[in-house]
Amino acid sequence: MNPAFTLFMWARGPAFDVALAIFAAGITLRLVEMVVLGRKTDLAPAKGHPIRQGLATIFTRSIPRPGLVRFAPGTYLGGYVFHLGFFAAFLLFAPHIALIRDALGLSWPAANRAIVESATALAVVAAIILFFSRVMDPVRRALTGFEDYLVLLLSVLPLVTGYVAANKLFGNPEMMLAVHVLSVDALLIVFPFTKLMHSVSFVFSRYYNGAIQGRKGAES
Amino acid sequence: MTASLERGLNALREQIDAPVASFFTSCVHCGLCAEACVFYRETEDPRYIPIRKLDPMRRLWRREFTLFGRIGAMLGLVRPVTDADLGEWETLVYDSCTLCGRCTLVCPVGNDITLMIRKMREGMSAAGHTPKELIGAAVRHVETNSLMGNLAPALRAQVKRSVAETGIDIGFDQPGVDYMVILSAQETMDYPEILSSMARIFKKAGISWTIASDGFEATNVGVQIGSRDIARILVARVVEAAERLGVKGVVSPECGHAYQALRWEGPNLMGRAFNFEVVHIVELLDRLRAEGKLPTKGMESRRVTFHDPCQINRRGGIDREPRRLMALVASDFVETDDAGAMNWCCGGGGGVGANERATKLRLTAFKRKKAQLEKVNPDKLITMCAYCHHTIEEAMEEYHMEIEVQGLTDFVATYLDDEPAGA
Ligand code: SF4
Ligand code: SF4
Repeated sequence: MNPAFTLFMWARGPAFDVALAIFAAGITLRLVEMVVLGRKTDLAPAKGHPIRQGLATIFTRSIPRPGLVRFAPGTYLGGYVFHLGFFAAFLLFAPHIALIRDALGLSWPAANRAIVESATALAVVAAIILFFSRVMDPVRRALTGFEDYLVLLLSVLPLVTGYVAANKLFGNPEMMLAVHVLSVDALLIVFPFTKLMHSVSFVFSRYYNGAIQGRKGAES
Repeated sequence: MTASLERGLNALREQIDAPVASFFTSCVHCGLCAEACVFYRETEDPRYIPIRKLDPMRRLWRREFTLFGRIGAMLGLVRPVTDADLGEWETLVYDSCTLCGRCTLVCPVGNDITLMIRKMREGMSAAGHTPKELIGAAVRHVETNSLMGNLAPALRAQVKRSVAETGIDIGFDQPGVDYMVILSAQETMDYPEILSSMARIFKKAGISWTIASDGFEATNVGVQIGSRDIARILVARVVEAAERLGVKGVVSPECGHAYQALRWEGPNLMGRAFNFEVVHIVELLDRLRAEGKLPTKGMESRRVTFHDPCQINRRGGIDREPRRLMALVASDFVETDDAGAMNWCCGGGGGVGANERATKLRLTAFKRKKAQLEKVNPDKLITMCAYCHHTIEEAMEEYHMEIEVQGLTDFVATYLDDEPAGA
């Protein structure tokens, strides 16, 4: 049998299953060890609506505060474009939707190929901007460690390899597809151990922020 | 109680709860919190990145509250927190943070960094890494009746002066009245005009009030140091006085952290809800306005702007009230850039103003306020915190700025229509 095909079958078969198990178990563990710490009941009578504002803040915090963008345009722009591009490429690409339908029975319309590809390209450019801001900008540099570069690299690899595989740009297409799936496996595996956790835990942190401020009737 | 690393770490452990864990888990190292922080903005020194001010606490959380961190610790990958670390962090946690809350409003993942710095201070103080001026103030307040020492004689004198000036009696320790009023030491010493202003406004509105001779001080250095024990002792004096007198409510004065200490931390420090209401003086004035009990005549016609104290607006939720009052008495009211919930801190809150070695940094931070003010170029600045008032006045002197500063209650009282009808 063709070795590229064998690798591909392994990457999307056993390797993917293991990666997914680590991903799911790891996230569960991290959320459990977070939530079990609990939170004391606040005895101060509420002025606002803590729960309502907590829930609202999960969404509203996606919009930046006016006046702040100009201080860190690269981080804001890079951050938005990367997130939007990544999710567009992941969730609007027809073959991905087919996979999800087979696995979960859920499905939705795909976007046209040109849109998905532009989104992918933009996300890669955004990642490059984010990389440079980590290298050049003193604030970002002070906060950046090995993990930040690793996570950036592992999040951009599925985009690049997917683009190459889908367009048969170079190499053996089957091999490229195998590498693409392997990059996804790697992303799933590191997820629970790194700041990639934010893509789940932000729901909690934003909620708490909104609820704490909301109790006081203050903005969040 | 001797301070030690072990006590410090224990105090920190006690502070780590689900929100804190979610905040540390969520941080993506984007640095946007720095862009919002007045200390970073005015120095552009990455040491002042808000989330970095919490590094020892974050490490403690990783090592002890996460499985992967515990494994990492066993493998020597996550360093333990040492006394030297805490010592090194003292200036970050106390000198370069006013607990202003701006970082908390901009963090894209919603981290309440300010709350965590407040919590971190619990560990710092238990480990003995607290600025000496704050400790001195705490000792004075615990041993006497205010952070400035025994203020009872001064307060009696100010009350006497006010009664002579307005002809309105102010009684001490009167049970069963509507409100018990407390004052910040800054007001008692530097801005005592507040007494006459309240006396006139309350008389006009038909409100009865009193001052407790054993619970008149509103400030609470315990919440600034980060010592729940001290904070509880101080807040208990006010709570017990209010309960003894059986008042309907306690009026929290124009002081940011005092409002925070009594209104939001108070019941949690005491471990029980109060059987009286805590109302900020500006909330109360706005209520009176809505009920038509705050008649005014005339208006300030010079250009006036407003400074939102962090603990009262951003961290306290009082935003519309002062603006409705300003509309009542100022005809040329201008807002500064970023006014309201995103207003820039004066630089003196959270204990920074009392901390001698932070003076230079505080004055540097004030440049942001200065720029904000210069842009609207007001004749007068109104605020609702006596400590902001004091900090701004002092810094303006340093920068040779000439803008009159006044407390909101006093400003409103200037235009109170309390002439007897027909006079
Ligand atoms: S609370 Fe204010 S002063 Fe403190 S770190 Fe945050 S933005 Fe800076
Ligand atoms: S803004 Fe929030 S996520 Fe970004 S570095 Fe600061 S704390 Fe972390």
